[in-house]
Amino acid sequence: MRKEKKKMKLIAKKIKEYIKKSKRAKLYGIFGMIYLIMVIFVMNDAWLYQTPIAKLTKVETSKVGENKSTRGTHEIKYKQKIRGVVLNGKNKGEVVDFSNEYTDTGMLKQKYHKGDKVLLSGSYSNVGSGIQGKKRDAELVILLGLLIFILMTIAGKKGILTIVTVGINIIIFSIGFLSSSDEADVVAICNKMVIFFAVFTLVGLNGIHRKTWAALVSTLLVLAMIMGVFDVVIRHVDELDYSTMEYLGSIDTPDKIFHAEILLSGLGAIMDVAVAIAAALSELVTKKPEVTFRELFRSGREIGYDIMGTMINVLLFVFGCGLIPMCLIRMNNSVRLMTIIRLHIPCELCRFFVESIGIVLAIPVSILITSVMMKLTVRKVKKRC
Amino acid sequence: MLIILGLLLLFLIVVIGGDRGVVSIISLCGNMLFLSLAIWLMAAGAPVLLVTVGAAVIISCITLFYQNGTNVKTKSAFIATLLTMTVLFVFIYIIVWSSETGGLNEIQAAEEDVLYYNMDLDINMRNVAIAVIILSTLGAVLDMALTVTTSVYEISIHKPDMSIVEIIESGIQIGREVIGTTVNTLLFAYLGESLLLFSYLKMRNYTLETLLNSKILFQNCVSMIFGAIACVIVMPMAALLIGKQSRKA
Repeated sequence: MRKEKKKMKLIAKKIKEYIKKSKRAKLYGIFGMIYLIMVIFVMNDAWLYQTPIAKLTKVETSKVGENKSTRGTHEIKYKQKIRGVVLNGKNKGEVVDFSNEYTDTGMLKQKYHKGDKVLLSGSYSNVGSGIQGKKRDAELVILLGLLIFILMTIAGKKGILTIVTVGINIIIFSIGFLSSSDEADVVAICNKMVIFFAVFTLVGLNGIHRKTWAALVSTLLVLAMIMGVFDVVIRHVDELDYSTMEYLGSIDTPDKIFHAEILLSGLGAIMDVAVAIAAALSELVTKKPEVTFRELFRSGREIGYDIMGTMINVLLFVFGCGLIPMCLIRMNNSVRLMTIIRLHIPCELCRFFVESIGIVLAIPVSILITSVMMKLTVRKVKKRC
Repeated sequence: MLIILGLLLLFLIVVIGGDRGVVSIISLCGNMLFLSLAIWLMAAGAPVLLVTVGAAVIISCITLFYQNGTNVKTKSAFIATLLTMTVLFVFIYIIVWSSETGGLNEIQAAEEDVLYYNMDLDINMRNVAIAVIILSTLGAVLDMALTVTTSVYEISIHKPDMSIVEIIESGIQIGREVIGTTVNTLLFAYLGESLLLFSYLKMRNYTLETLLNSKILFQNCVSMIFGAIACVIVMPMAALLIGKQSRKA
């Protein structure tokens, strides 16, 4: 009898597991369907657009000549004869012809492929005379969906939380950005936004817990510290030349935007360090409540070493790779690499330095704050007992 | 200004990081050096994709083997990173090809000094775009791979009788703890980078339609999304590799 009961239990367990798994499989299936439908929808969303869109039905490419490139090699020029069908607006169904010229480098103009959808330069009722650019929203949706799908399947619940926090952050960013008027103080807005970002990201990822608050306090403190360092340095040494900033255009308050840039781009990395240390130390305190400050400090430092180098590396690559295209152009127009570093990218370098200082500072600050907060609360609990 | 900030950074790293701080400074400088070397080679007309692969391998070696020592953990992390990047390379190529996001974006192209430069470089900018995406995701992927392999190695030493499935599961479990903040780190790094860009777009009154289809948005989003995808994919891969390695040993 007993054996049979055990067997029954085992079978029941197996069935439960199977149902759980199939539920998951169903969930993935449903999500996959939604993804597919979204992609198909975005591929055919021309009717939503006000700008006229054409699908290219015929593309003829021919060589038209050669230029001398900057290094003396040959740069082949191509010309494309393009025929497309308008997909939306008043002129739906109309056949339009364009021409496009591009070179091997493709610096400013790109090649068009047959089947591409392009935005035309005209308005709703008028097709216009040329191509404004490729329609890229389908690719964007495909990528976003892929990211969400992979996060959900491999990272599970945490992955969904990640998506939610990223979504919330983007919403905060767009609200803060769109609602501000043109004259509003960018730094003031960013200060407020940063607090929201930090609160939502940390609480969203780690839940409401003591370590979350410790990480939050240390993040904000470190941000205040690096902005202080930056201000002091900038006030006592020669002014940074903001005219070298990328995308400057005709913006008249570059210093404020630069402040805001530093605040934002350092935030993620600093939060990362703060969370890692806070989580590890709180684990230590809960497992070993009698741990001393010194021990906490030592293990915090140990964790800090590991993260510091790699985090700075992550920022280095994000910052360095964005500069590659402009560097290539300048170096091929006989601007030397040293000149570029001296004259063209000091703003980017300065930002990178300030952020790295933030990462390094985040280690002792978050160790201190976490251990103080954890120890204090543990003592309180003990007294109550 | 820059020198003072740089010195301050060096000082802080040495004070807080000690000996290992010095190691990370050296590897950071090595990475910068090789990144500049890669740019220099590309500018001199070397095949862009080959240079990218070479630079990626060398940079991974510096970050893993010099900064963290040559051992089973770093070797597995290296192979996992390499495999992930190879798989993603195909995807990145397809996406960049079909969206044609190479070259300067709309705002860079409108900058004043660009007008004075000769744009016929005989360097395929589509490949440069791929290089940018691959190299900018590399740092985060290396970080993730190393985190997973070190923790899984620790666990498999304490519990040698774990099956390969369990090892992979525990690796993913560790990765899950980190993935949220890593993705957010990438998000904020790119948001900060493109803050000026957004204010510029606002001033120019870009419509949502043009913005969604613009090269600028796509270039920024693609780097971020591929970074995040690579970080997720590398988790099970690193766990599997280190699991197999530690079982052999």
